[in-house]
Amino acid sequence: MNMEEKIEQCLMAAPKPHVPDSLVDRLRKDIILKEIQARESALRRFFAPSGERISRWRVAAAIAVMVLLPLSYGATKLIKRFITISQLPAINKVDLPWGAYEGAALSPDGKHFAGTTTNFELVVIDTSTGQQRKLANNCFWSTHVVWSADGSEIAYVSRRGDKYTSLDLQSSSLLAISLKTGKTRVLMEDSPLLEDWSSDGRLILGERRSKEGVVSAVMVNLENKEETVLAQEWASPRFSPNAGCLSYVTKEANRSILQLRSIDGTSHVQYTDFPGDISRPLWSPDGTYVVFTGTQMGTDRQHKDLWALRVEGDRFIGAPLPVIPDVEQMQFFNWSQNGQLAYRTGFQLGGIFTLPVDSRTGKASGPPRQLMLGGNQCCWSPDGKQIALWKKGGFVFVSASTGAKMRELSVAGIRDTKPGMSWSPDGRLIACAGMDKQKRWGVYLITVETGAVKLLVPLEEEANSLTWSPDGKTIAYGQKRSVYVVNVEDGKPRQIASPTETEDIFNRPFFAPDGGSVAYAHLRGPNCDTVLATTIDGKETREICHLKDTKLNMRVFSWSPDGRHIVFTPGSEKIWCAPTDGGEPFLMADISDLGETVWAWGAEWSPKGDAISVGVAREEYQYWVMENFLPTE
Amino acid sequence: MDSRIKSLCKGASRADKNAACELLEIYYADIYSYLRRLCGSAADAEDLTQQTFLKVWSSLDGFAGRSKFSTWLYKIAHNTYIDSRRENTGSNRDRSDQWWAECIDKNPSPLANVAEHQLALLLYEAVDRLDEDKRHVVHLHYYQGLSIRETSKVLGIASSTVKYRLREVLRILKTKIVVEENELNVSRIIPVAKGETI
Repeated sequence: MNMEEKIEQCLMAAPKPHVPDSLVDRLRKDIILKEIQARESALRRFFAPSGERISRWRVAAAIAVMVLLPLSYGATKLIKRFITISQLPAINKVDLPWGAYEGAALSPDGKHFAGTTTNFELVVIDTSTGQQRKLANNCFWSTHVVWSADGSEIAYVSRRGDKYTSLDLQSSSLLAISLKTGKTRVLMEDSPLLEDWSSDGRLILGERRSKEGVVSAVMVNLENKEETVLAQEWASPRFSPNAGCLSYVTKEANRSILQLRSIDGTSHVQYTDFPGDISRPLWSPDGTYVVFTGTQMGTDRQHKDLWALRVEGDRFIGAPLPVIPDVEQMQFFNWSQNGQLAYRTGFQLGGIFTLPVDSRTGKASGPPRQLMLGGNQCCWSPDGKQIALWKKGGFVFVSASTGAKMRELSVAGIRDTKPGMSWSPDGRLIACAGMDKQKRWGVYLITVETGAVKLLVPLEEEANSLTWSPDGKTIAYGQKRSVYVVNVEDGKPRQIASPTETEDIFNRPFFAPDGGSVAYAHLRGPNCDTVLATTIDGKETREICHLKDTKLNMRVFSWSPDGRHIVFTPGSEKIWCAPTDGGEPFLMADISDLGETVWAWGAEWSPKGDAISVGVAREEYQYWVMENFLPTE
Repeated sequence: MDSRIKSLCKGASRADKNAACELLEIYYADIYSYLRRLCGSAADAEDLTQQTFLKVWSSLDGFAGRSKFSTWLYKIAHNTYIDSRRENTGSNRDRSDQWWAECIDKNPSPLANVAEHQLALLLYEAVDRLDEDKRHVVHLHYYQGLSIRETSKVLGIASSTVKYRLREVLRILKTKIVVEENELNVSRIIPVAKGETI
C-alpha cells in the first residue's frame, strides 16, 4: 500500500463522535410538518384532467400536434441541419506548419489527427487526450498525409536523406506506416505529391512536377505503377468514398471547372457554371456530395464560401448550394468517415515594418514601426523614399517614412510572382521573377510608371531573388540551385555559381555594393551558415560571412549598402546582423513585443543604409471539426 | 434503500410524522457527526443539527427529488454551518488538541497498532489546519463517505474541482507525514506551496 492509499484509508476510518442520547428526542419534538399540496404539472393536468388515469385520446392528440404537424411543415429539415461544431484543442500543441497548410488529416473514426510538423516529423495526436506520438521522421510537409480506409495506416511521402525541398520530390518514396506498430511499407518509389489514397488501397492521386516545372495531376495504380494524367495543373484530385469516381478542378479561360470522372475513364462529366474560383473539392463520407470552397468577387470584397454539389453515381445533380458562408479564414483538411469535416481557423496579422538602423554600427536605433497591414513582397525605391509592395494584380507604393499610400499600379501581365523583387537604380523598372498570363516562367521587367511588362529572360523553371547591379546594367537571380546574371541590354543569362555538392544550394543572390560580385547563401540542408560571393565573371569566389552558431540561419539575408553588414532573419522573432569583417553576429532587434507567435522574415536594407524593411507575421490557429452541415434531401 | 427513502420523503411531505421520524433516525447521527467534526464544541454541533433539521422540515416542499435526499440534507447542514460561522465569527470555540485523541480512544477503529493511531491522529489534526475549502471536501468525501459527485453537489462546485482539491489534500498530508517521519526539527508552519501552509 502506498502512502496516499494509507492516508485515504486513515481518513475514511475517521472515528465518529459520540452522539448525545438526548439529541434525537429533541429533534423529534422539532418536527413540524405542513401538508404540502400535491403539485401537478400542467402536462399532467392536460393528460389526466380528471386527476385519475391518463387519457389516451389526449396523448394521441398531443402526438398529432407536437410531431405530425411539424413534420408536415418540413421541420425534419431543420432538425437534420443542426450543425455541430467542436474544437480540437489538443492539436494546437503541435508545431504544424503555418500558412496555407492543408496536409493534415483526421482518422476515419475521428479519434486521431495526423500531420507533418515543421521538423519533418509525422505526428499522430489523440483528439480527446491530446497525447502525441511521433510516428516517422523525414516527411515532406508540403504534401498530404492520407489515412487508409480502415484507419490502420497512414500514407505519407518520405524524404530521402536530408533533402528538404519539393524540387527533390522525384527521388522520394511513398510509404504507409502502421498506426499500431509503426512499421512502414513502401507503396511506391519516385512518388508524386500525395493527394489521396483510394479506399481499396490500390490507387493514389497526386501531383507530379517535372524538372521543367510543369505540374500535372496524376492517378497511379500502385500494383502496376501505371500512371494516368488527369490534368496539366494543380487540380486537387480526390477519390469518391467507394473509389468508383474521382473529382478534380481545372481552369479553362479563367473559369473553374469541376470534373467528375470514373476511375476507368469510361465516364467523364464537368460542372462548368460556377461563377468563381473552385478550390479543394472534398467528398462527403457517403459520397452523395462534393463540397468545395468557392471564391467570388463581390462589389466591395472577395467572398469565399463553402458550397456543396450533389452527386449521383457518375453525374452531378443540380447546381451547387452555399452551405457555410464566409470561410475565408478556414483551411479544410479532410472529411473523415465519421462525418467530421476537419479544418483550421486562424488569423494572420502583420505586414511590412521598418526598423531604423545606425548605418555605422548596424544596430537598431529605434523600435520597429508598421508601414502597412498585410503584404509579403516589397522592395525599396532607389532614393529610399518609397516602398513598393506587391499585392495580387499589381503594386501599392507607400511612403517609407509615413506608410501613407502614394499610388497603386495595376500589372495585368503578371499572374504570379516569386519572392525577391528589385527596383532598378534609375527608378524606372522593377524586376521580378514570376509567371505571366500564358503560364510562362521568366524574369520580368515592369515599368514603374505604366505597369507595362517585358519578359527579359524566359525560363523553364521558376527563379527567385532578383537584384540589380548598382550601375543598373545587370540583374542577378537564383534559379534551382545556382546563381545567374543577365545583361539587361541583351537578356542573355549566364551562370556564375553552382554548387559542386549535389545536395547543396546557392540561393538568394544579392549584388555587392561595388557591383563587382554577387553574394549568395550557401545552403547545406535546411540551414545556411555561410554567405559566399562570386565575381560576376564567375572566376573568383570568397566567403563573406560564416556563422559559428549553427542555430542561426542566413538563408534569407540582405547586404548593407556600405558592404559592412549582413542582416538576416532566421525565422523567429529575432532579426540578426553579422559584420562582414568576421566579427560576431549580434541581435539587431527582437520583435517579440509585437505578439507571442510573431516572426520576422525577408529583411531588406534601405538604399541609404539607415533602415531595414522587414515582413512580420503572426499566425494563430485553432482546429475544429464540423458535422451535419449539408443540405437535406 | 433509495426507494424506501423516497417513500419516506413523500410521506413526510404529506405531513406523515412517522415517516419524518424515520428519516430523522436514519440521518441525524451522520449530520451530528459531520457538524461535530467541524464545530468547536458539542453544544454548537447540537444547535446546528437542530437548525439543520428545522430547515429540512420547513423546506421539504422545496425538495424536488432531483438529487439524493442525503445530498440535499448535507447541503442544508453545510449551509447552516457556513451561516453560523458568518454570524458568529470567532465565537465558535476551538476544539482542544486532545479532541481527536479522545475520539479515537472512545471509538472502536480498524487502526491496528499504536503507530497507526499516531498516524491517524497526525492526519486528523493536519486536516483541521487545512484551509476551509480543502477541509470541507475531506469532511464530506472521506469522513462522511459521500461520492465525489455528491460532494460537488453539496459544495456547489464542479466534480473536477473536488478531485483537484482532494489531490492537493493528499499531497499536503503526504508532505506532513514525510516531515514527521523524518523527525525533522521543523516549526509548525511548513511552506509547501506558494501562499499555502500546513
